[in-house]
Amino acid sequence: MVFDIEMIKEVYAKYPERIAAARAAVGKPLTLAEKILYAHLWEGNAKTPYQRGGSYVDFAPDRIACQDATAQMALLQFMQAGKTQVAVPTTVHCDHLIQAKIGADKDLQNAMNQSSEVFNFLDSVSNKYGIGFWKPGAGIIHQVVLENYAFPGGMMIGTDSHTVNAGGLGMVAIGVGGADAVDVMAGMAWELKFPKLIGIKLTGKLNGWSSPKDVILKVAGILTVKGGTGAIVEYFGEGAKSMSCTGKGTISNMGAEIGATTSTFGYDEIHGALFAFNRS
Amino acid sequence: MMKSMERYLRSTGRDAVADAANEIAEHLTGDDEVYANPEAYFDEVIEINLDELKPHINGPFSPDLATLAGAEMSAKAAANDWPLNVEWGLIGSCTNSSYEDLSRASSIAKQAFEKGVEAKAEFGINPGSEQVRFTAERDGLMQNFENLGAKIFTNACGPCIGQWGRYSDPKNAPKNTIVHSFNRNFAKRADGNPNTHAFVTSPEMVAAIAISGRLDFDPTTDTLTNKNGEQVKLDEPIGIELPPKGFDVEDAGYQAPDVDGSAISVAVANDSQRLQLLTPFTPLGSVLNDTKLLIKAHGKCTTDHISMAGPWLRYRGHLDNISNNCLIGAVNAFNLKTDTVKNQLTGEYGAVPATQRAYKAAGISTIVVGDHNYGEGSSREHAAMEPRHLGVAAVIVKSFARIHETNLKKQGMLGLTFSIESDYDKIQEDDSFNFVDLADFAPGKPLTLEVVHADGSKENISLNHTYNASQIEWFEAGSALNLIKQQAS
Repeated sequence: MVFDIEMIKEVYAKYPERIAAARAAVGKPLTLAEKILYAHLWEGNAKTPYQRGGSYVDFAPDRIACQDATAQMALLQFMQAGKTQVAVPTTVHCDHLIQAKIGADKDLQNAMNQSSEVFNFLDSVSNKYGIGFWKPGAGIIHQVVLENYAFPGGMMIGTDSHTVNAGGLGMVAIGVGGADAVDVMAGMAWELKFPKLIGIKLTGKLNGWSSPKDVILKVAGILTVKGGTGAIVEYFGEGAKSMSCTGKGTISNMGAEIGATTSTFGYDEIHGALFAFNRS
Repeated sequence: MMKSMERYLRSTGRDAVADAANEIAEHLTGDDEVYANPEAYFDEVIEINLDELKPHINGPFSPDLATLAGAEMSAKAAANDWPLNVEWGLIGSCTNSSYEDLSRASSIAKQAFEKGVEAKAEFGINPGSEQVRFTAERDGLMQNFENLGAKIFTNACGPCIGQWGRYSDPKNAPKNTIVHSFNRNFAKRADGNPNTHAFVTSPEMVAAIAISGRLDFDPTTDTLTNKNGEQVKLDEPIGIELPPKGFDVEDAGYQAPDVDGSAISVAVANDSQRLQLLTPFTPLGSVLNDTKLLIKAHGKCTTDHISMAGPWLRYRGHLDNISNNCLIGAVNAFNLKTDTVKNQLTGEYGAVPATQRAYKAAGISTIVVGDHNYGEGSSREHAAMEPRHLGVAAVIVKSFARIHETNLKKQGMLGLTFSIESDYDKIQEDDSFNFVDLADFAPGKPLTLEVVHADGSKENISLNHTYNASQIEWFEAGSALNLIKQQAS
């Protein structure tokens, strides 16, 4: 199943004109992060360049994802806003309220016994306001988003700091508080200070016991938990091209641990990798 | 050749998205000039050579404490008294729970089983989705873990967010080491035990370390003793990027919403302990005088310190109940204890939430003072809503984590930073505070805080803020949501 393909096509249909406007406004070649940001301006085509780390900019994200812990407060707030439907495609994922103890089946049943009140609330509030609902046991929000909703060049927000995981599929995906998500659900713009941009060039190729995880663990060692604050991290180079999509997801995911606004990778050419490749 | 993203889109049944992306592919990556000359276009550039990259193990207690696997870990663990014996290896979380991740770790588990090696540590696996789990089960990946006695947990966050029934009494649990493929390893995060040293590494290294039972195991050089007493070595992991037979699932667990939901009622019971309908916050106004200090937080104060996860997750939808965890993990700078602050009304020390409720009952506003990167961690707005609900007016810190700063603004609070960092040191436990120019709150203009010390002496300190004009409207309306409602009506 492909969700919201018409929305994705609409986003893509606007891209050439939006990028042309961004080029004219910025006046120099663009990073991927800039392209996605400028293609999602609330005002439409860019008229002026924004100052990185300075300008507050209104954006129009393409979708929203909420996990069951944060969705409760977000949707309780949304209910107060007096709307009939969410303004942009939204999903709720039940992954936080299940304690791991004995094993999948018993743990899931225990969660159902203990939290049915919350699951029923989320189920009904999702059903009422046009929100896609992923039941307990369906999976972890950011993996489900990567498998079903993320798309290259898209912009999404999510009420969880690891929303940034969708950078693995070339999105600008940003973790927000429930209150921000409520704004966008209610049809309002989403405001963000235009981020600074950190470029990480990956040369060479992973081999042996090294993995995408080691890339981000090394980056965390270099930048520390504060080093990415206020910045989008954009990965590029041969090493990025040869890496799997879910590996890019891992790297993007832990961008949250360096405080980065988000991380992303280009939808680029590959060199020599096979469909189901063998790393040995 | 297809791009890795395109392969993934097609493998997950989204040919239509891949086709659409291909049509505008030139716009979906950075310009050639940018990548050829990145220093001219990025604010900062880092280069990493993957040919030379070695397995890392980061931790404990912070994900940026990077150590190379093997000898470097041996040395650091000895120097810092980190337990080398590993009790658990956990694979999963949103960070590393893809089919490819499971396949790599599974290839290590398979080797161990086939070579007659038993896992020294316990294993726990949380697959990323039912689609991943179903496919991995079909392809035999899960069996490789089960052969080593692994527990397969629900397709959910589990231990990564503290949802782990590891101990009945985590606070008094012993010092120990675990390794996991998650993203965060703050103290107490996974199992509530402050003595658990959690280390972050790749799924395949989690598998190798859990099998060996040693934190400093280096699979490229070290051997393991199998059931026959023979020394065996683990081969390099083998990853399968995408399932050769395609993904499959019987019930993905998705429910589409009704097309017209107007008739659906959302019920929240009045006596619910889990859910509570909200009432709008009252604006703080432009007069904030004689406020007291609730807590001056020392050192790291993440959203986990402000609004602890774990057992508190059950109150996420009930603001008053969850407010009983407000700042209970923050370290009081004056006595270096958690959840022990001085109540200025009584002079006695008590829990943070109870003390704050006492101030609220007495009609006294308070401030919270913090160190660098205050609010680092998750996006949970409870970390802002709880202090707001309990009557905290301002959070004043050396620096904020972005999401938390925005959340404070959204809830109609003051999130401010010391213009001079060392002014943090001027704040004393029994001070009172007057916001002398709050009536002139404006973008780009620092606010002045008059600090009145216990001996009657006063000093003014300057506080920076990042509120723009519309964010100041949130403050004036009492919250962003209040403003939305005002504008809708």
